[in-house]
Amino acid sequence: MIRKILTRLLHLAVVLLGILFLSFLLIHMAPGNFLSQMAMNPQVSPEIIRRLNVLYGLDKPFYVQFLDWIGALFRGNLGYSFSYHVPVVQLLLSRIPLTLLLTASAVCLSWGVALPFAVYGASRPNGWLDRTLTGFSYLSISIPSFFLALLGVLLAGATGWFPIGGAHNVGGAESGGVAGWLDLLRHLTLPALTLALGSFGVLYRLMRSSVMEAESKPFFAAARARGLSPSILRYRYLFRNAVNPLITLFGMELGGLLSGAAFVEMVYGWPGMGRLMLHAVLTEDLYLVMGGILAGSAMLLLGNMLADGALYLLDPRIREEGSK
Amino acid sequence: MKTKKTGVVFRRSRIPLTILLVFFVSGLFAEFLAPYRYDSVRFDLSYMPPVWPSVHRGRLEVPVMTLADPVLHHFRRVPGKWVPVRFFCRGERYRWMGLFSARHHLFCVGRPGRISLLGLDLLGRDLFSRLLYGVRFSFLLSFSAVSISFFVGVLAGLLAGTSGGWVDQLVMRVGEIFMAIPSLYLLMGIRAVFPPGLSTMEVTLIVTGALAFVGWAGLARVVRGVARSLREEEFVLAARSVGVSWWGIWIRHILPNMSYYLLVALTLSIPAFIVGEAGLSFLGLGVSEPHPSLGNILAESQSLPAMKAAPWLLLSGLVIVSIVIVFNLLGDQMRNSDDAGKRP
Repeated sequence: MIRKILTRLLHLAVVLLGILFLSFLLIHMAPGNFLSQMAMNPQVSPEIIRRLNVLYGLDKPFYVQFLDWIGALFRGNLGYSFSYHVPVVQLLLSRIPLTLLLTASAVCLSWGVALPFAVYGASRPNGWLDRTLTGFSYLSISIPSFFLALLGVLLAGATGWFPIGGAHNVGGAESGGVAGWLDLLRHLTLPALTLALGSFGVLYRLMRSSVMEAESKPFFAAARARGLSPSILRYRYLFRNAVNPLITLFGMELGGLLSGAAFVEMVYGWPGMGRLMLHAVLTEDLYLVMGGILAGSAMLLLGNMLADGALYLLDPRIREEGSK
Repeated sequence: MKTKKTGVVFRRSRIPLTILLVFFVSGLFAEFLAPYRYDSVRFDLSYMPPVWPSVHRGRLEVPVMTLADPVLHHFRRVPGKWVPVRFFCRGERYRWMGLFSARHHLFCVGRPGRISLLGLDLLGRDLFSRLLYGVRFSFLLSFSAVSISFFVGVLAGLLAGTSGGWVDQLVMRVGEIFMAIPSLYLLMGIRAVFPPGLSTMEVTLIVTGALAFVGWAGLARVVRGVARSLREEEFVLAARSVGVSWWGIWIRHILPNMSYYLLVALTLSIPAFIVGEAGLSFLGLGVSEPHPSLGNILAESQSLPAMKAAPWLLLSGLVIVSIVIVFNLLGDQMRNSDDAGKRP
C-alpha cells in the first residue's frame, strides 16, 4: 500500500516538474523579456539594462534560471503582473476561488441530475425518457461551451431573468450577509447551468452503459433472486457498482470542464481564471499567463487526487487490494 | 471481410456521410458557390436581414432593399424594384484555391440588388458566402492539425506500446504532463509566446501547430493500449519466429491490424480539433479578420446588441454543432459496426 502511494506520489512529482519545465520553456521562448520594454526607453541607458540583466540573473544559462525560478516558486513568488501591477500570486488567489465555485457547482448539478436519470433510463432502455435523454446527450456533447454560453446570454437578454457580467452587482460584494450570497447565486446560476448542460451528455451516456453492464453481473442476479425491492436494487446495488468508472473518468473529464469553464467565464464575464488568462494573453502579461497555466494544472491535479481518494473510499475492492 | 464492414458502415450512416459531403463540397467550391467574396463589404447594408428570392413576374427575383433606420438597422423594400436571380453568371472575379482565375458563380443578382440568403454582418458582408469560406478554413486548419497530431500520436503510441520498458515510461510520463494541463490553458499559453500583429498565414500555422501539440497525447495513450494487446497476439509471435524484424512487425503486422480502430479514433477526435480552432478564433486568438473561420464569424455576435440586431450570425454556431454531430455519429456508427473498436 505504502509502496503504491509512493509510486503515485513519484509520478505526480514527475508530472509537476514537467509542467513547470514546459511553462518555463514557453516563457523563455517568448521574444524579449520584462526588460525589453525598458530597453526601448531612450532615457534608460544600455548600461543600466545590462546591470539589471545581471541583477535578475538573465545572463545565466537556461537551467540555472529554471532552478532559480523553481526556488522562487516555492517561496510563493510567481512574478509580477505588468498589466495589473500586482504580484501574480495575489491575482491568482483572488480568481481561483471563483473558478472553483463555478466548476464545483457545475459538477454537482450535472452529476446530481445525470446519474439518477441514467440509472432510471437504463432500467427502461429505449423508453421515451431514455430516448429523449439519449438524444439530448448527443446534443449536449456536440455543442461547444462558448456557443451554449452565447445562447445563454441571449436568453438572459431576452427574459431579463439573470444578470450578465461579473459575480456581484455593483456594491453587492460589500453588502455581505444573506443578500450578498443571494446576489452571488443569481450571477452564478446561468454560467453553472451552461457548464453543467455541456457535461450532462457524457455522464448520461457513460452511466447508462455502466449500469447496463452492472445489470448483467452475477451479484445483481443474486440480489434480485433474494427479492429486494426494485428501488433498493437500483440505487443501492447498481448505482454503487456502476459509478466507479465515472469517478475514474472524472479526472479526464475535469480537464475539459476547466477549459469549458474558461470559455463560459469569458462569455458571461464571470471574473475567474479563464477571463484572467485571456486578458493576460491579450496584454502579453507573460508571468500571469504562466501563473494561469500552473493554477489550471494545479486544479486539475487536485481534482484527480480527489477522484482517487473517492474511489478508495467508495470501492471496498480497491481498499482490499491496497491493504494486501 | 473488410469490404463488407465498410459497406455496412456506408449503408448505416448514409445521412451523416451525405451531410459531410455537402460540407466538403461547399468548402471546396466556396468561390463558385458563394455569390460574393468573403471580404466584399457594403457599409450601407450593415446587418441587412436575409432576403430570399421569390417568383415575381414569372421568374426568380430578389426585392431591392433600402436602409430605413440606420440606428436600428431597419430595412424596407423599395416598392416595385426587383432584380432577377441569374445562374452560372459572371460576378466578382476570384482565383479558385489560388490556382485558376474565374468569374463564374452559381448564382448572383445584378446591382443594385443584393442576394443574402443568411443575412449580412456589421460590415455588410454576406454571411452565406463567409460561412462557405469559413467551413473551408476551419476544415483545412483542423484537418492539418489532426493529421500532425495523429502522426505523432500513433508513432509515440506504437513506440511505447511495442517496446515497453523505459521508452514506454518516458512516452507515457510526457503524455501525462500534456494531459495534466487543461487544454485551453495550454493553447492560450502557446499563443501568448508569439507576438501580436502576425499575418493570418502565420497565425494559422501557429494555431495548427498548437492544436497538434496539445492533442497528440490522448491519441498516443489509446494507440499504446491497442499496440500492447496486439503485441501478445500469436501472429506477432509467428512473425518473430520466422525472423521478421521489430520494424517489420510494427509496419506490416501491428499497424494494419489496428487500422480500422485508428480510423474510428481519428473520426472521433476530429470534433475536438474543430471546436478547438473555433474556440481560439472565437476568442480572437486564432484565424483573424478579414479571413472567416467558423469561430471568428460567431465572435461577431458576442455582444447582446449584435445578437439582437443580427441573430442570423449565430448560424455559424449551428454549423459548428452540426459538423461535430456528424463526426460523432459517424464515429459511433463505425465503432458499433465492428468489435475492433472495443478491443483494447
